[in-house]
Amino acid sequence: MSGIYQILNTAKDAFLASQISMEVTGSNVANASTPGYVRQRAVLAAKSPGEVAQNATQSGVEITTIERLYDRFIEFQLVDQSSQVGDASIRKETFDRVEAIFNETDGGGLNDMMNQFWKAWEDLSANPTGQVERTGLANAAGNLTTMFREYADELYNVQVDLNVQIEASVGQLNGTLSDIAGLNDKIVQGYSGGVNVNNLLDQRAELLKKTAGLIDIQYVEETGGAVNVFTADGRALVQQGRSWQLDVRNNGGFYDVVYADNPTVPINDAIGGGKLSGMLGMRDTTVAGYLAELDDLAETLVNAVNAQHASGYDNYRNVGGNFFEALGVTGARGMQVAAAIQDDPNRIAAAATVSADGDNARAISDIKDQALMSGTLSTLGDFYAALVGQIGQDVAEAGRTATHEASVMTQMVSAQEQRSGVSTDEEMINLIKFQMGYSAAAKLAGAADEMLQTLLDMV
Amino acid sequence: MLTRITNNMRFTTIIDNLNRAQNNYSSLMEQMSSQKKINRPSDDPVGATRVLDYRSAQDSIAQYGRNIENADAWLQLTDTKLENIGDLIGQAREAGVNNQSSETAQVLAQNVGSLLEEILSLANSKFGDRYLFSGSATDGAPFERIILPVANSENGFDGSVYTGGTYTGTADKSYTVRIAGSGAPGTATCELSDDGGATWSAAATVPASGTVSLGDGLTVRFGDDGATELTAGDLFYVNAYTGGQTTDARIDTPRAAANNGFAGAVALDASSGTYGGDRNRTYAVKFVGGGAVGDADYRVSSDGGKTWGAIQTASWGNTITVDNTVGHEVVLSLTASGPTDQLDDNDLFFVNAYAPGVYSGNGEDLSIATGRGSHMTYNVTGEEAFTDRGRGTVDLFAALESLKTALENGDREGVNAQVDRLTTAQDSIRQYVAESGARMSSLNISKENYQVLDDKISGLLSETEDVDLEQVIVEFKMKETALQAAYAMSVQIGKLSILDYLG
Repeated sequence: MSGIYQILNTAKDAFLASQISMEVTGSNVANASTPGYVRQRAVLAAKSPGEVAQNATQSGVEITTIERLYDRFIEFQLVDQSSQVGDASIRKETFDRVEAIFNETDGGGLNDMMNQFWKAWEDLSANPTGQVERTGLANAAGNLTTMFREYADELYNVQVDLNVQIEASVGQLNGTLSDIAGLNDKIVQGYSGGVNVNNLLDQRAELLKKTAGLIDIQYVEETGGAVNVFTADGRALVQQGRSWQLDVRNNGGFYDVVYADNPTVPINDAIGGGKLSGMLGMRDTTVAGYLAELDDLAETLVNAVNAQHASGYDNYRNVGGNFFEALGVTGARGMQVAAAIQDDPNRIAAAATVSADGDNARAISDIKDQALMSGTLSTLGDFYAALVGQIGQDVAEAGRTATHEASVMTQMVSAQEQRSGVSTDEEMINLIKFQMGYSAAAKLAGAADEMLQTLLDMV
Repeated sequence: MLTRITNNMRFTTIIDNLNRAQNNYSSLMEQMSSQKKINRPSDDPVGATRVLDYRSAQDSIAQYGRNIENADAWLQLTDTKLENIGDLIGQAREAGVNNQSSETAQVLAQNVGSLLEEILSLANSKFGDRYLFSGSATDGAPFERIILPVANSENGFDGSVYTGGTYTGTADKSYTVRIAGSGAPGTATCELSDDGGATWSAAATVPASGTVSLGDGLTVRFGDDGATELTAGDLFYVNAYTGGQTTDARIDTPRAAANNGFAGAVALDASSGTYGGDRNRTYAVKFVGGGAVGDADYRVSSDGGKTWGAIQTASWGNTITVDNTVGHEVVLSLTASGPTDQLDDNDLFFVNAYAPGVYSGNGEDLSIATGRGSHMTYNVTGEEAFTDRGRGTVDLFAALESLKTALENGDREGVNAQVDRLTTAQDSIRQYVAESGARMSSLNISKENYQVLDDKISGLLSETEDVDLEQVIVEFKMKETALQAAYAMSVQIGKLSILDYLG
């Protein structure tokens, strides 16, 4: 007896299988452009007959699972590469800003101002009592200090902006970490309840990449479905349903990254990748380094000019005072021409004796040729040119790194796409296939129906 | 297995390719519009460093050029003035040589007088507002009309004679001193005339100091440096000019720097002697650390503050000796304005001391940077050109004034002696003309060398930072084509889909 009804049952299974397969196809097509979406496939299996029979010919079909087509290994690499890209991209962005500050290629920059400054001293040495020359020098000196202040301020602003971004990134990171913890809970529940959690898995993979873009992490997937996330040196960030929040703490004007529950221990050094690493590195090492070199340059210039200036005499026969104000803790950011000189250029000590000669002005202009920098190896001008060259090299290097990391990322994304991406063409063909399956199942049901009708007609 | 090409892959590839093509295109566009291949340091870090070096070198060269032009202008003016002076000296010499009769002598004397005034104004020439012949003290006129004591050539006395004091008369006047009784100062007697020898005063003893008062504030001093004492019949002539400069050594009123903390007065102490140096000097006192009068530590400079002696820490009452030559001390005294008036760190006082003669400048050089580490002197000091101090050979103005007086007084021998001095003076002026000519030509050579160097550096700069336009245009065309292809392709990509073939 089992025969015809069995055929109908099989047809029913086939209807169902086709329908679900088409639903999955529909979801794939709908999410073709959704970032992080992993294509899914209904996995069909032949249903074994209820009991083992001698000559069982019929078996139905069943959906064993909705499979997520992804490659765990590529996924790991992508998370890792997100950290590299995050780090390199923030460095590149910051370097572009720094380079714009030091762009001397059009002239009118610090190099020019230094040259103008020395020229003004030489002009004054040729006419030491000339008011035009004195005012010219006071202006040139003013422009030089303004330029030093601007450059140093700009660098400092870059540091401050990075600092603000660090705070914002830590906030963002806390959000993604607690989202991952939340998803962990749902996924574990879903797994144990046999619910399809593919969407949640997609979301969590995206969040892991986002997290890695901010800070370098390692993660392990537990058998229950939860992932545990750690910093590169093994401090826990997420464990199952719990996340550890990070925070920032002011340390001498700039923020340290700390654990919220252990705010006195900075973990800056434990961060070796992601945007946070790039921001911390640029703020505390690279930009701070350039600023220190600029401070060094300003300080040497100020001290050398002041020392020589003090051995001369001004137009009122006074012993030369400070030409520049002594640099304070703010370094080049606070560079100023001495107030007395600003108020009255006759206070410029151009003379080497009380007889109004110009020899001290000449001696000051000679400072430009003295090897005062880098342990008496280079002049002030050489030092600055070398700094600009160094920045250019660093920028070029950062640009190359960013391009390289981005192209590695593109390759990995493409590898992942090959495996997990949606191809509309493929889905369409699958659709045709499932449609045909559905039609065939209908034919089968129709045939069984006819057979049953025939049987009934016999009665 | 064939690669699966997904929707996202097709579009990301297109976007990547478009970005790349656009980047290349716009970078070339930037190079074309700026005409520079280095538009930011990272385009070519080494090149960018070089560009800065080249620019600084060009700025330095431009400045050296300006320095050279300044010095050259100064030297040209010096050259012209010295040549004029040389010619005028020649004319004065001729007047002496042509002195044949006593009738022409007075005319010639007047002639020499006006030549002297002309030379004086030339010697006080300025470049802008700086005196050419003041040494480094370019803010003060180096010469005044001289009030010179002229000894008759037949005199027995052979020591130096100086005028002193300040002539307060309102008209020019001729004084004559005639020795009536021989002997050293203190013994000898003299008679005075203030009308060219028409009337004489009664004989009076020459004071032991050797200083005889002529009237109207003017004095004449007989030095003790001769071999023969004053002899009866010796004649000395002094032409006094209003505002004229006497020839004895003198010390200016000491001055304080304008912004000293000390508000009290500085003066030349009474214990000062006659200045005994043989060149003009500026003495300066600088206080170190400050303190009360008598306590504050100080240093002394005898070269206008260029170099300083050791810090003096002993208490000093209210006087500081800046020149301790015995009998010729220069001593400053400081008087506080009140009990709380103190000397501050770096308070400065200075005083000019002048050797006998008429020069008010100094013997310091002016120099200018003509290259990295090389400086060139560009001035001729009045001291070396017109006086017998320092490198100088003849006191030109004394010779002219003596010539004039000798002509006035019919002193043939005196005239001849001055003609010889003027010949020497003319030779020495010619030598300085030649020297400044040599300096000018050396400056011109440097200038030409700098022009060549500047051209070379411009070439290097252009090679480093300027684009090779042809090459860039060709590349630009290539990239443009690539970009067009990328656009064309991106439009095509959406057109191909299986959907077009499904019924």
